[in-house]
Amino acid sequence: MIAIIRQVLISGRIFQLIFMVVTIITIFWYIEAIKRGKVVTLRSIPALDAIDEATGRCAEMGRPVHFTPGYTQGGLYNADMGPQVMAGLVILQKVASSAAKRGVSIIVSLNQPEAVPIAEETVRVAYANEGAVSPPKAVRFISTEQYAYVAGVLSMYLEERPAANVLMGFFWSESLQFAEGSNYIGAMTIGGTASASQMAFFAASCDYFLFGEELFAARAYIEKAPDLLGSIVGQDILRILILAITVLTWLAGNFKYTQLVSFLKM
Amino acid sequence: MSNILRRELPMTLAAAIVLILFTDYYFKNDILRTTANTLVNWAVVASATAAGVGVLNVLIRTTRNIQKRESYWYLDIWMLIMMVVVAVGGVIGAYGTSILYTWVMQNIYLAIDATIFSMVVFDITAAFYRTFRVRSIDAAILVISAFFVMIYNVPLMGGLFPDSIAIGSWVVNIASVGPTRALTAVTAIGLIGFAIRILLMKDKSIFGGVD
Repeated sequence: MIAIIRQVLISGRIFQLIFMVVTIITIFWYIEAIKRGKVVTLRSIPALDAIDEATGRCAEMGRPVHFTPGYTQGGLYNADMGPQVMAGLVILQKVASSAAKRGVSIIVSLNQPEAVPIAEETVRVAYANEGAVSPPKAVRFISTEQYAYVAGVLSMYLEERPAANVLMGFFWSESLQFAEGSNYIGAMTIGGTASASQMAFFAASCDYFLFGEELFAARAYIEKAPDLLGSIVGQDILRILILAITVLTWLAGNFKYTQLVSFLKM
Repeated sequence: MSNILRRELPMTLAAAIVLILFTDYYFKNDILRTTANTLVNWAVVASATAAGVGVLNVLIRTTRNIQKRESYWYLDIWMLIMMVVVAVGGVIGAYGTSILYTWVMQNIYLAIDATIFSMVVFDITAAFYRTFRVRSIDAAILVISAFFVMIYNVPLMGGLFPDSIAIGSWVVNIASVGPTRALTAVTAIGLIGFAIRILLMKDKSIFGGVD
């Protein structure tokens, strides 16, 4: 049996596939469980709750809200950065919807040209759902170059003075430039990234921030639909599984039980 | 019809392509490998075509801005001139070896790029000032750790207080590594869940708009 598996599957990726299949089954299991009536509670995520506060502030001050999903090297195709930008664009839906409800104008700054139609459609639909028309020039592609993009966003800060900035996606050094720039113009700042090197900067300089995987859980938290909640619960179970594997591997390594390590490397 | 073209068709295509690429990653199969490579090549060709369309779009929009004398229209003229200069410079001779192209990149682009990057130091100082205030025991631990990490990173301080280097090194290389790895693993699971939701079409928001 193992010989057949080794013939069919690429060596070194067998355990990865097993883990992926377990992940999919677990997520489906909990989606169905929630549809059958299983009750789950999500802990509070203040950064997402604060989006309405941010757009409310913009309405009071008569200024726009600004959103950016951050920077990616090579656009959305970048395997490390692209998914975080896409997760950020999911949150754009909530920001645009909240802005539309309060009659606030939105500005979306982008570094990825291929994200422009997604952002335009998201903003258009969010405003249409509230019976409003999306503001002209709401979605702006600035540049694929990192610091040209930074310069574009910072100059927009100074010229249009948004009352709130929502920075959700992947960021490098521009995280601090955007957040500190936002503080400089007196805007409320909500940050969120799963970029390990930039989380500390957002924690230091934002009024509210999303931490790591919260970025990917945002839509489930906002909509609380069974399909989305089920995947969040499934992920929690998998985290416990990973923790168990880590402890077992540590024990196996210390007691010279190499079979477990070989299985993981299979 | 519109919804099929705008949402369902792209989603179905995306799901089919991802399924092929996903299977190719795990299974040994020549047909899958060839199909996956062809799809990746298509993506490269589509991106290159999109770049060409993008240049045309920029030309049309900037020309319109100049004609209508919209705000900063004179910068649009400058941008068009520079676009032509860099494009011509890049095309004449091989990419990157043209004297004109190299001069523009080294003497204009890189200088401006470095200037904007160097602004980060002021932002770090401002964030540092706001963050490192001892309001609780946690904050005190953070400040003490940051102090030793700073000494670890500054050569002069390391020369004056050599023993403190060991503490800073321990904070950077041991104390922070475990939590960082845990965070990476937890985030990876979140990412996998997000990807699965999209692939199974449980989350269609990345195609724009509400389901």
